[in-house]
Amino acid sequence: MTHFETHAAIRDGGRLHDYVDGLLAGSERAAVEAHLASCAACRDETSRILALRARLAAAPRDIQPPRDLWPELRARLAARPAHRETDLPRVAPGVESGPTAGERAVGMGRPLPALLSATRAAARRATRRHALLAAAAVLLVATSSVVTATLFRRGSQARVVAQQSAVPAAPRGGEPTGPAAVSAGYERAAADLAATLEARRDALAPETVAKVEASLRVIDSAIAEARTALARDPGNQTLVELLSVTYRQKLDVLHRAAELSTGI
Amino acid sequence: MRAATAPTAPTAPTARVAPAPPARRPWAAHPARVARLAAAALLASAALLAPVRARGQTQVDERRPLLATGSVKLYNLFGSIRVIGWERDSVAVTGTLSLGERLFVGGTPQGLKIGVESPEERTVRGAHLVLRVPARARVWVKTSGAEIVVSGVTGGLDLYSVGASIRVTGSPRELNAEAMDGAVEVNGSPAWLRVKTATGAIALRGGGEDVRLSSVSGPITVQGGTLGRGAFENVTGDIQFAGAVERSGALTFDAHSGGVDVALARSVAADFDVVTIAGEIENYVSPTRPVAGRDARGRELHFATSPDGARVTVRSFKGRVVLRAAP
Amino acid sequence: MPFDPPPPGPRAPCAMETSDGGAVRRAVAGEPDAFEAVYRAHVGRVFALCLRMAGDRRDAEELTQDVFVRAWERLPSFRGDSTLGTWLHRLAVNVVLERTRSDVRRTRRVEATDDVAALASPAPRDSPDERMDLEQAIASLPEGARTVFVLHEIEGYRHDEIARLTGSAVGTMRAQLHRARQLLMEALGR
Repeated sequence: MTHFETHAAIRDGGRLHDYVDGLLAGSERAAVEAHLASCAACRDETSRILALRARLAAAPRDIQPPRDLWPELRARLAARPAHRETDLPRVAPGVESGPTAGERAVGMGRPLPALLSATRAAARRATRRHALLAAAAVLLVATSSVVTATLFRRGSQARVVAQQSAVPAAPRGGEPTGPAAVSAGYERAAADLAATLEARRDALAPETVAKVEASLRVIDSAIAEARTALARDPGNQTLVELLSVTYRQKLDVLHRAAELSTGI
Repeated sequence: MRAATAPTAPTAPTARVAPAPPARRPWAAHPARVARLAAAALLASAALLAPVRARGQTQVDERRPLLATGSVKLYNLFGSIRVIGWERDSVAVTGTLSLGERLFVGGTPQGLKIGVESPEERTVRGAHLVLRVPARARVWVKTSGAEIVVSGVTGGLDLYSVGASIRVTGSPRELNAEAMDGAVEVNGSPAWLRVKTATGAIALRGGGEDVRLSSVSGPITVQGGTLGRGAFENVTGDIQFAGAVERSGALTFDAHSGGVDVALARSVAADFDVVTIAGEIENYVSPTRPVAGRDARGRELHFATSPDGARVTVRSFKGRVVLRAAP
Repeated sequence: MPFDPPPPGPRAPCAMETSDGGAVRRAVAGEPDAFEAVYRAHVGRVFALCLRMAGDRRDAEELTQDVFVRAWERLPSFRGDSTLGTWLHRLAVNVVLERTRSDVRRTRRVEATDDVAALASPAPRDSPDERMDLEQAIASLPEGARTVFVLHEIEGYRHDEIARLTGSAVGTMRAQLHRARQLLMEALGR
């Protein structure tokens, strides 16, 4: 082949890139190197590719998100139904017993409550979830409902209200799961935001405060209805999702109100 | 399996390895942080900022160069704000300030900050400003009671209001609008659209690739466009959708007690999944009747107008769901 | 096909011997707040990957959350045969590629074409820096080329791995990589 033909074959065939990437060996590599010895344009191109790679090698591997994603993420995690890809039997809250032999065998230092005997036999994810949800639904009904309309009341009272509603009574032996976790996670996040807002109350116009409170009352009423329904029908995925959406809207309103208070 | 060592260039120059600048684009920072930045900028030294002192009602006319894809932040609590996209690489702020108000303009050709400082925050009259920006710029506006009207911007928009309405005409690449009880109206098809209100009505006349509209009690209305992906959420307000969705797209509607009315264009192939806990479902699209839900509670409706169509999901707690076929 | 983490199996007793072992143990047991330590330690890496693959900040934020949600679900199956960071990273690549495959929306960025002018912001004469930011240049690449480019040049995957992950032929993948490099070199003025 003529120099020109070789040059075209190497450039069009991406051989320079392959050469830079260390993918060529033996005669192929020798051919490219021979060509480079006599072709300034290809030498220049190879240098450019190497320079680009060097620049990329210096690019940061770690970039922090411009805003903290944890609060939203935490709320999403807490809203997930008890569905984790584990082969270990999970908890039915309210039933306490020591670790099973199986659990001890895998070295779980922390004692876990045993499954209800009915679900232990099945041990399928769906069945496990249903039992979990049924048991957790009992918890849900027992927890105090949240009314954050009192959000902006001055003094410690607002904080007390927020705290009372923060977390449903923890089941013996572990964290709430299923729908109770939906509530618990969001209530915690809402309580955090409510406390922040309380601290910045003076930064908001009274009419704005009134608007925010009115919306929160609407949302809380919807949440209460959904939770009541969920208590009667704990396996209802539609209800869980509706509840999650409503909770997210509540956090949204609280979050936006908090942002308003940071304006000049 | 990698080949042997990667080669060095025959005459490799010293690689100029400049540390890459951070990926963050200043305008895209979290609104609260941007607000604080705006605050800091307004209170910063006079070397950076140029206050325009107002005596009585003052006319303002400030012009600054700005990159075509630069960013502009505007802060004006009360009055009115009009944003117009134009084909110049500059920003022009014109309008009037009320007694005692001051206009601050500062920044660089990559990012400008403009703020109106009022001596007393609850000034009724406020500043009435017209802001002309490069059409492809990114514009961030924060207000409490100043109506925001935007046209001709194709870049990005972040608009925040409390009680004032927001109206956008055109199809920006990205539009994020948040208001409490102000209404938000979009006439166009932003590629990416997020609107949130508490009680304000939301109206989209147009479509979009990725749309999410969320309100607590304001009515949500979508008409006339084609969406790629749409999510609509309301607690007590109604949701009305009249439009189309891409075949490979998806629409989801979540409502607590508000009604959901979906009128898809007849030509649209769609797979419907409708569930209500305590409400009713009316289907005028196909002969399929709703059936009792799980454990005989609630109502459900599942049908497809055509295989492999768009997914349309409706979840309602106790509102009325109506499905119709638009002409 | 996506490169899946190993299937769940009986957990090795010492699987959690990592630097953040205590937090991981508690996170596996289902505590969202313990998972926060895991999140904080790895979010920068995950976000960097998502940002460069997605080419857009908002998408990257959503994807980052999706990655950690999936990590939360799959954490019990993490067997410690790689570092947690490596495991998270593979998971992140899978999440991003799945979303890219199933996501039907067109890119909402400026239409990325081979036209270099579309890549570089027009810089006025008085602009101090006419060279485009590296990250912006990467973000402006066409999606397929960008995916391949980021996986190879920044994340260090091999050709055959990338071909398998993206479901394309090695030849196609190579061509996209070369094209991406060409576009970047032109955009960066090197």
